[in-house]
Amino acid sequence: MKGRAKRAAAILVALLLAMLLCTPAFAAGNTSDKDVDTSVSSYAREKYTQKKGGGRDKVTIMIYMIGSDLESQNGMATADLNEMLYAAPDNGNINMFIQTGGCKRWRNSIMTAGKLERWKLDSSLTLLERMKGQSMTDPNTLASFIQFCAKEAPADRYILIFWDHGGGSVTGYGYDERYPNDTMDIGEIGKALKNGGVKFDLVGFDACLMGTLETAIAVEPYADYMLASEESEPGTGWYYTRWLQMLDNNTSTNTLAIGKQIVDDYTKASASMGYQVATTLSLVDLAELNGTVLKYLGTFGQELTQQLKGKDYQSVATARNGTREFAKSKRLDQADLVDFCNRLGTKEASLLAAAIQDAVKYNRVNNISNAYGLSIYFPNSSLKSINHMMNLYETIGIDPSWSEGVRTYATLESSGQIVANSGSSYGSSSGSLIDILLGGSSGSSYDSSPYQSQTYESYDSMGVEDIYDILSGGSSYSSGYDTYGSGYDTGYDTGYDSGYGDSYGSSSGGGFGDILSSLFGGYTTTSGDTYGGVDYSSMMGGYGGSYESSYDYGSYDTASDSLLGLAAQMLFGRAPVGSETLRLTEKDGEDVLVLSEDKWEQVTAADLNVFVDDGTGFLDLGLDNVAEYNEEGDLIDAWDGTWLTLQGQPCALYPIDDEDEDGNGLYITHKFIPALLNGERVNLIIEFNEETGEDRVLGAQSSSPTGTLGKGFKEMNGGDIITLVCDFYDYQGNFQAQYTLGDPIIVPEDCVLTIANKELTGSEDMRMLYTYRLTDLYQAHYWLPIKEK
Amino acid sequence: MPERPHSRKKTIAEGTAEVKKGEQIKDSVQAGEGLAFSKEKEEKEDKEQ
Repeated sequence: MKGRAKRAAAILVALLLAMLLCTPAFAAGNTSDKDVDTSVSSYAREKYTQKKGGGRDKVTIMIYMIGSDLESQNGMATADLNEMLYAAPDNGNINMFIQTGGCKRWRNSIMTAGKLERWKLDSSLTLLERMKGQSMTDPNTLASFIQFCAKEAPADRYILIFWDHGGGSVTGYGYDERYPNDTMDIGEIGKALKNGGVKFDLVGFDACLMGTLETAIAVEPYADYMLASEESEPGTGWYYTRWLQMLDNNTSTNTLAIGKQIVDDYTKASASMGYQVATTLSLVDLAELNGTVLKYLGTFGQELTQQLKGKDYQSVATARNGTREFAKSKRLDQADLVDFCNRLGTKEASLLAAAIQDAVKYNRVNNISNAYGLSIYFPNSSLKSINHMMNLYETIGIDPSWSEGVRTYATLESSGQIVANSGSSYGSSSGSLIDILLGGSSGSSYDSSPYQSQTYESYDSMGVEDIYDILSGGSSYSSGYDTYGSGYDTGYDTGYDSGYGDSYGSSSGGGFGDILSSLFGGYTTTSGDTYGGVDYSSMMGGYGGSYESSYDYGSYDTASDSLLGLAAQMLFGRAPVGSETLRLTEKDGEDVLVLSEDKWEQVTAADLNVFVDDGTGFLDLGLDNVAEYNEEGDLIDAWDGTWLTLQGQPCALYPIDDEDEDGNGLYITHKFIPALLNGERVNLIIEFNEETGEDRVLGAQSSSPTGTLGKGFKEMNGGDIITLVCDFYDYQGNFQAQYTLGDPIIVPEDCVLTIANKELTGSEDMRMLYTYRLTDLYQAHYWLPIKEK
Repeated sequence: MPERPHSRKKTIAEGTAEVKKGEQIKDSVQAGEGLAFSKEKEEKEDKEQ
């Protein structure tokens, strides 16, 4: 044994001791239950791990534990180490190693902050090595640990468990408090496993959101089974005692049985919590992946691309919008793949869905529906990760047909957004909210200094050529933009110029310039810092020719396979939600928005959007889905002046999700309130539950700077201080900073925070402004004329 | 009424609540999504990534 073999007394701080000493008293919840699927597809490869049976197998278990703030703030790693110690594996055929690091402060007496330490665990913890601090999210650090364990204890079966935060396919695994600006992305996980040189029986992620197909693909070359969660995990994470005892009793225990034990314990513990936490955990047979799931993913991708190029964006977008999504507030765009397939309902989608369900051998959920075991990245709410994901797809070798399907969808979505935003150039009431706030809409009823009203040429006058020019950065776009700019004062021009240029063309901004570059197959960051600097002609070349040679307005249907051409045609052909149609009509003494039914079919959300003009800029109080409609289905453009309050104080409020879980017309709506909890930035998650009639605060959620999601909610105690915060924008529409809102709130002893609807008041120089924001299938936003309450 | 995006039902308003702008939070990042052309949020998020 290498290093300083120091026997340490296993006296860990016994957090949650009472709970852990006893078998947890799990209560039944709204929890799924089913048997393990023991079938094996005839297309499955041989398992890497061939067990001897009869308890003769040597097992090496590796726990890769990045303590992070989960440990430094809440002692969650120590709690799980205690669970492992209670199992006290003393079977001579089990070797269990733990590498710890990535934590500013360990909540036990034996681990050292700032160091990497390797431990052996049986009835106690033995320190094997202490090394200088290195990033635990560096794949080389993980590979080194795997190599170390395999050398120390060669075995018949290997199990590896990733312990920490997780952020799914977009963000990856791990948050190291000492190296906080990095994660181990999915490609790096694959690299670490490759360099580790071990074929695993089971790879598990006791971390949020790692149950994705992309993760499975990266892990498959090195493991037979993967155990991971599609959804965020509660703070307690997995329960380690029982499955370790099971393995201790018989080291040849079937992997399916071990996986089932972990899933069952986890699900039951989650169901026993005092609030309705949504959990998922699934065991996937990776040996079936290549022969079944990935084969059908390719054909599904081909069909998806054909469907989109056949101008059926609406069907795909409608299916995508309804699909179960995970960690929605983080805009990771991780959707359940089976649910997406089911909603599309095509033959290829059905084949893929069946293959996934066959490969998922055990899946249990708690308080969540339509989660079948594996999610996948599919852009919807945000396009900023498309570049990263296209590169990741290449790294992990995902079927190019799938990449093309995703890219095609993203192109059409981004095209819809670009055109929607450019609508402001043409004087429509769609596009930039700042346009509306500053009175740019001809329908505006808020016309007061320093705001100006302007009238522009009609968006309706745009033809398909104009739309194409907008998408390709051509003349009409520039012209409209200039026209728009000239109508405002210098400060506004500057702000708008800067925002547009950076958002649409910067190589760092993640804007449409980058997105389109990636979407058209370049995979390169754009060189220009302005919209005009992007060479769209060359991008289009990847799709069948240059702008000059192949683009033909008159032959869209047959000749052009240019996605921009397709997008222009589709956007011209669709019934635009924006444009002049957003003007209000007076009916029965009320201002209402009248849209035709084909337009309403494209509207996915309608939110009341409230701002407070304090004389220096706009306080953003956010969005609430409280729109009302008359009997004819017209949106009533009115506001009663009331808004949500927390402990009697007005708060900013933003949507997370709004779902009719059981299809009974009763929705469960989640929103978040930005706040400080004892000075730390958090989002308070609130739930409006039409099934129970309860509106309540579920808890405070924080996330690491890297975007990985913390397990569960932060602990809130009586006496804690909550300070509400909101965004503040100047009159040029630029985000300035967050400001505190109201007075500090002291959390009551019972930790029950009251949310209620109250009428807003303010000082005399404050103006209460409201509008309604519509969101369409392209995730483009449109605002009604601003009004002052 | 034809189908429309779901709206949650507000509870009956009880009393008033005053909007009070407090202090600026240093190095703060945009929390919401209110304004269409605010570029700060995504830029900062990208840097963090």
